[in-house]
Amino acid sequence: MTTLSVELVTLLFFGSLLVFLVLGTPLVFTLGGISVIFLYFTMGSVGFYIVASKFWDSMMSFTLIAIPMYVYMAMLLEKSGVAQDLYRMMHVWFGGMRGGLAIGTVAICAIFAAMSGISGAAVVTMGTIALPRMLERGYDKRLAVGAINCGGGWGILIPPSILMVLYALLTELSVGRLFASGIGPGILLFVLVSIYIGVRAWLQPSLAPTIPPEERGDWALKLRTLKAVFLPLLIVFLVLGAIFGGFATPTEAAALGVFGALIASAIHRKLSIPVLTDAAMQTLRLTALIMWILFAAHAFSTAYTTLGANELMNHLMSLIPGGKWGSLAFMLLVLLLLGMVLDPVGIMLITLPVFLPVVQSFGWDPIWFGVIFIIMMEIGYMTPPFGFNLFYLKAVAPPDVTMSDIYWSVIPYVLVTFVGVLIIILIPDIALYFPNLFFGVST
Amino acid sequence: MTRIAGAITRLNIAIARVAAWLIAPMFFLLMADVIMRYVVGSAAIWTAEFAQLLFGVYAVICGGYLLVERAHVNVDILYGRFRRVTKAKVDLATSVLFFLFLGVLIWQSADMAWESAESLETSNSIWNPWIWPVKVAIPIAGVLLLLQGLVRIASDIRTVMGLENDPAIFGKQAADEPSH
Repeated sequence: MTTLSVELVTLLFFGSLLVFLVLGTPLVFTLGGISVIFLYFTMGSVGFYIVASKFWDSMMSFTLIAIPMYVYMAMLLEKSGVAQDLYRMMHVWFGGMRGGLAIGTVAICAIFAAMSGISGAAVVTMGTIALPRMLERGYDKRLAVGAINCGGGWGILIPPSILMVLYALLTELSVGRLFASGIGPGILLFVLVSIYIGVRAWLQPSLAPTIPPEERGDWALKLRTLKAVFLPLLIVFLVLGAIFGGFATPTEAAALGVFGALIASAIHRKLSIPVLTDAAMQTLRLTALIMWILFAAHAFSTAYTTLGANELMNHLMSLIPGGKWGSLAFMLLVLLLLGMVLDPVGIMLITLPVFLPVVQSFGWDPIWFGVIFIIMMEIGYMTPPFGFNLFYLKAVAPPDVTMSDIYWSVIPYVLVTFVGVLIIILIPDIALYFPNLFFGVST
Repeated sequence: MTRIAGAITRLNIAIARVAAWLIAPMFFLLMADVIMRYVVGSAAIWTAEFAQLLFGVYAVICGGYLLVERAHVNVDILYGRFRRVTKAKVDLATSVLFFLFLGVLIWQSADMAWESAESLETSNSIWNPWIWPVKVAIPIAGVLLLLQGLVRIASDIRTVMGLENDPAIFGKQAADEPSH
């Protein structure tokens, strides 16, 4: 390998990665296969030992047990009927307001996000429950669909979040700190999206009409429906309280969350063997999928480092004009583009070895960068052609909502989310206030 | 040949159905860990570590099942537009990476597992359980995935030849349209 320059090898490395990915080769085999080839050239077969030993390291990570737990919790809550009750409450409380149903829907998305660590669950549930109701009441298709698409993505930003678990693992940061850093930005995005819906509905009342007064219910009904919030808040309190209060590790808290989800299902009489089995199979699939990408990605980052590619990439990144803000803009652009074609776990594992040294060299807080990273992944979930939320939505939306409605609906919400990213970049304390509050100022 | 292919596919599905239930003991062990700490005052020495060992198996063993379900994430932007036969041809061409990765994985993890099993390796914690069975799970998972990959190759070749494949034998089949 001494005959080839680092530049050429790096080019071949990323070039072949790109070619195989575009040809539809599963990410895990692309990462694994290419790493094996390049490891052989740099270290000979000695380097192969790393492949197996990294499998073992990931299998023995206590942090990662949180992933199946949070996924199982989300799968159970999705089937538990908790969301139906929340929707009924929101309907009588917010229905009288212009755009109230849409704002209420994103509020439920935010609550749901605080109970689940993945993105899909809220999109599916709200797409099933809230979307048909909003359309019945004469809500604009795009306004309604976009609200669910956008709010549904908050699952990975508002704690808990399995993407944050992975980020923490890769950056050797504390999971609790990262979880806490999602609170401020989560609230910010909720407020921004609500303002957007409110202003649109105020300017164009026909897009989001108020529901008739007889449906709004009296105070007795309003108070009765309030008990719907009790159970979700209890679960949120149980899980996040345990983590932020220092009573349990994020992994143990995840088990508490599963416990809460089981109770919620039982109260709604949705607890049955088929439900448990179904949720268990979905959890296994998602966990195995993430773990296999992680296994291969370890080999990939080892190969990347041994090639000397990291120094080259750091050098290239330093050539980007505009200093540190130029580099940040470039990284966001890369994340945006990758988010359109690849899933967040894959993006994180491919880009972090390149981005993290850059972030650190500019003296930025990696937690702050993590939050921005995750919001960019959310935008990836929302945007065509490969946004998971789009396909989830299409699968559950009424037939008169076309794919092009769904595509168009995302534009304003993506712009609003970008505004949010910009605010967090300018005011890092939005992300860093809560971690510092709960865990003390990091040094 | 179809009988062997069907047997491999069914084996991987059966393993997944069993492995999916490992979530239950992991849950109970983690709960026990928290409850013991606050009720009894100290956690048992084995709960968290046992959950960890179960997780190790859980995480690795179902690579083959994911292949049955075509659930390994890929980029669909161009590939999704191909017709079924084209997809099969492309898959056959790119499968070289699959075999390189799996070959190295099985070889190296078998080495590691053999060494561990020979010495009946334990974790050296206070509880000190055997960890060699979990290490042995890696090459087993690798072989399960490799076998399913061979089934996929057979399935792709049949598709190129214009034959129909039964998903129960050859695993989930690609569609002519984008999968999403």
